[in-house]
Amino acid sequence: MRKLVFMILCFCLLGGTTVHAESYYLQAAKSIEISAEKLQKSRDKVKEHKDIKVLDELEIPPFHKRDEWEKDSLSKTFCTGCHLSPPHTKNLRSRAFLNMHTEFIACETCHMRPENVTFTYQWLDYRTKQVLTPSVALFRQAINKDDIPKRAEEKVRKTDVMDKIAPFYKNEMALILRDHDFAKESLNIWKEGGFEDKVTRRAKIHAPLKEKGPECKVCHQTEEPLLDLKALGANKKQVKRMQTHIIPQFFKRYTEDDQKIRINSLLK
Amino acid sequence: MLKAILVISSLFLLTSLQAAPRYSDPDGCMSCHALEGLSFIDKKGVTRSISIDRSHYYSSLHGSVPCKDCHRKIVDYPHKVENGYADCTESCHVEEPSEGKPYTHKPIHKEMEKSVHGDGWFKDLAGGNRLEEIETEQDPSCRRCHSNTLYILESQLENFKDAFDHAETECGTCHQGKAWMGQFGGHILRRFVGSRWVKNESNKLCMDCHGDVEKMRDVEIEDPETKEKHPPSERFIHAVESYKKTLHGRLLIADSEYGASCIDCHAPSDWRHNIGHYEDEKSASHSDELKNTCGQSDCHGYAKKPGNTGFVETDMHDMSMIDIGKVGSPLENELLKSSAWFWSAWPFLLATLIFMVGSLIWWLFYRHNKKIIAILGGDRFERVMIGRKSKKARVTARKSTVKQESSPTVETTPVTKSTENTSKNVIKLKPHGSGTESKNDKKGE
Repeated sequence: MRKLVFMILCFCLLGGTTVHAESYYLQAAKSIEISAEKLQKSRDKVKEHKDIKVLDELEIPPFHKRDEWEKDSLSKTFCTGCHLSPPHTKNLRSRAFLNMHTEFIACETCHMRPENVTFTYQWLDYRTKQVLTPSVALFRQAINKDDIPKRAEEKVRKTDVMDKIAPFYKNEMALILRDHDFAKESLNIWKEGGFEDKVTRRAKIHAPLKEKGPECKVCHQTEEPLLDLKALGANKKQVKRMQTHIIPQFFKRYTEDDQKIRINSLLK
Repeated sequence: MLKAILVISSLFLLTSLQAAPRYSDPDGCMSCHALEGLSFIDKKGVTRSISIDRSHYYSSLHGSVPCKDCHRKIVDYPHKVENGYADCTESCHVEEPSEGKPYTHKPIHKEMEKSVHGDGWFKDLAGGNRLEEIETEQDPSCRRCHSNTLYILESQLENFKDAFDHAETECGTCHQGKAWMGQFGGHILRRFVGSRWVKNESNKLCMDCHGDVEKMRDVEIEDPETKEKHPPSERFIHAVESYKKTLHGRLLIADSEYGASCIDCHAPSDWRHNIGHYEDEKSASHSDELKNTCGQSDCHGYAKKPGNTGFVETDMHDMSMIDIGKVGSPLENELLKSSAWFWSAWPFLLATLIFMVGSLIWWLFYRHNKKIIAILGGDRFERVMIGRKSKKARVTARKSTVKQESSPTVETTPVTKSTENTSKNVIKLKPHGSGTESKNDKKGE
């Protein structure tokens, strides 16, 4: 008996495989039954799909000096294995603003919001898959010098676009990253699979997700915002700035997709 | 009490020291455009950033110009693309300080449109149509060469700081008024640094395009007179390489401002955009104009003197100095047509063909014929070189011999004085075969 206990102990200590539960996303993707309607929609999407080749820098530079979007920001994300990076391209009004948010927020934070499940949201380092300690510096905006963490390794991280607010379920990361087997398999199907394989996999991938994310006001409001910014490390100034920002106020006034509003009027 | 006074006075000092924003944003554009990370990929795959670096903009050449002075038609959001188009020849609300008139780049464009780059875009400029310009237009637009850079280039900042040390007092002597100084102080002070563009920087503008051999190969050159378009010469294609071999280019490569930049020779006057074709009489590189171009101030003044005309004939793009290596397959259609060797070889090829066909005919039909067929000059050759009668003379002589043989021989003897009155010659008849043939007859055979 002692021998058996000893052997079990040794196995655990010498690196017996640690079993992680599957992420919420993967469980949902595998378990949700795909309706014929969704399959047909997926079929249409695969048919319509056209690859856009992203060009290098043009030889004519932009006239004004631009603040460039961080290309590495989504390099570890599962979604940008297929989607463009930055991903939002269609909606003239919101695409640039939504892309700006991808430097701070995981795709699944907006696009995976199941009705009967409550997620918690934490800062996730996409490089190491580690949960980060909430900090003012992680927001990278409106930072006073005093707010920058004293520890050297944290100083380096203050402008790191690989840190994003991501959903967690039962203290486990609720999403998967690009290096997950399911992601690799999906990418392989997309590249080399037959038409119906692509359709089925596409439908499965998107089953737990919503095409449209939440309205701006879901976060940018003072009463019951989706994200608890204070708990995520924001100071009072940052919380106020984000919750009462002028741009979401602009966007509240749009009631139709193709509506145009006078800028002078927006500023009032 | 003293403490209170100190606190109040230090508060006053602090507020006065905190500079108010130098430039306003009357249209609120920066409410959005100053946010970091605003980007998207357009339908053609171009990654478009719409985040403007605010602090850079306010320190730039256009820092005093409100956005709407250039992007005039933008009134609503989302913006219609064409409403954002900028026209560089429009006047803006900034006043030119010496005349008080609204500032405009129009005079520069007027000069530009007469140049070889005259078709370049100057209006309808927006971040979204850069790719279209690259794909459809070979002439450079304003924006291809000029982006909105800082007023004082970073490379010149140190020089500027030195100049600034004493310039404020001197400028302020004449140019009074805080607002004026605030707005144009940088402009005036920049003059102390000297030329805005150092020659290597100005050359970079030209070489970014002209240094790309493959791109230059695709350029179509317009004849200044006929307006016909034709492919570029190898001299044009490799102009930057040949320039770099000259003393002009080598001095600049060695960071000496004594060298000559591209526009020093090709657009030495006015707004320095009037680059012309070397066959255009108004061009600085036209052969009649070279004495003035080379002889401009600070360069080769002696080139203007009549005795020194040979100086301006120095080839500043000497192709023999560069190794252009493989310039394409020699059998490429376009290359063949543009080669003088190709066209001059044709008469030679034709002559060779005639010779070969002639030789073949001779070999087939005349090679066993021993008779010499003199085509041209044969008679003269026989008379002068061999020393016998010409063919014509021989035929005549033969005919006369035949005639003599078929009729009685006629012999002429000198006439005696006694018979002189009746006739000059007496004809004696001789029988045939008497053997008294004349010396001349033998010679004539």
